[in-house]
Amino acid sequence: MPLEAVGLGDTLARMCTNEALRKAIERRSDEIEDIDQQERALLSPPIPGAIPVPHRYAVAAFVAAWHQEQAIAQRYQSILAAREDADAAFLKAVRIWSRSLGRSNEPVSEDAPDEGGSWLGAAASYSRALLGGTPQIAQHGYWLNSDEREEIGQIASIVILRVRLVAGLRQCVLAAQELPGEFSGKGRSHDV
Amino acid sequence: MMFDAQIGTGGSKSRWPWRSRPQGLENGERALIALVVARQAGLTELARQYADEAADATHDPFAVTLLLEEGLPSPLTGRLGALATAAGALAQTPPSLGAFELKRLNANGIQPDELLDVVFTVARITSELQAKSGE
Repeated sequence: MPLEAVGLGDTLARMCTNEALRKAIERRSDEIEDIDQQERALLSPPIPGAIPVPHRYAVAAFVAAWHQEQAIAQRYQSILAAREDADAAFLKAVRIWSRSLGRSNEPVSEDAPDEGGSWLGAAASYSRALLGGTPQIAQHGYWLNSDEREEIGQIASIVILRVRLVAGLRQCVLAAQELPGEFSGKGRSHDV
Repeated sequence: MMFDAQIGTGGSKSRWPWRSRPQGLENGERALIALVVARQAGLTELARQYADEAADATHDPFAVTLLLEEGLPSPLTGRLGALATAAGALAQTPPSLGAFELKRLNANGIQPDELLDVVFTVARITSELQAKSGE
């Protein structure tokens, strides 16, 4: 199955060792499918706006990497690698910038390759500023025009939704594993 | 900064497209979670707007005001206290919800659909706040 076709619902269900939570996810399938559709519309629009499709997936990988969600970042990079319009140099640049954003205390890498890199570098810097809440955010995007910055914001928003759902559910599943039988949806304890 | 305690008089209309979700939390509880996420992000004015919605819908303006003014950790007890604490944990980067918060949710009768709603609501609000930050 192509990676693009692996939906958020599958990802969330696979994480769930807790049966009650897995059933709750199934009951929310319409909302989850809607998120998948929103993501496809933003990352692979039939008529791209200011940002070409490969660059959209690059930004998505940056945002996931900044959140330390390597599996999600890798998913976007793999989709990118399967496309005919992203060459090896572009993919290498995306990998390097993603790795740089994944190291939260390091400045954006200075040694990233130049192939397609000037835009990617600007997008990586802007993404880092956007996600880190840097006050003078606009100066980080001086290579980018306002349409590009707006579209990066939209992409960041949908990727954050995916990242937060996956990371949040993972925490719930891990916590439930420490409390076997505690969160079955059948009853409650009274000692808290 | 202290907040004006006179909240809950707005009767504001919904700004949330997912408000009509059939499963999960009450709308006031979702607004309370949104208040926690916005406050944690330092967006006090937005937190106040969510507080208005939460106070109206939960009919518990005292609890909402306490959360708005004091933040987390909160002396709030019961269901609202458990939801606020869990939302605060999930809103951190990375999320930090653990066994203590989950046990507290369970002890206050939170069902799996409602727990998932906490995760979804925190994710939705965090995503929206992020989108606004670049505008």
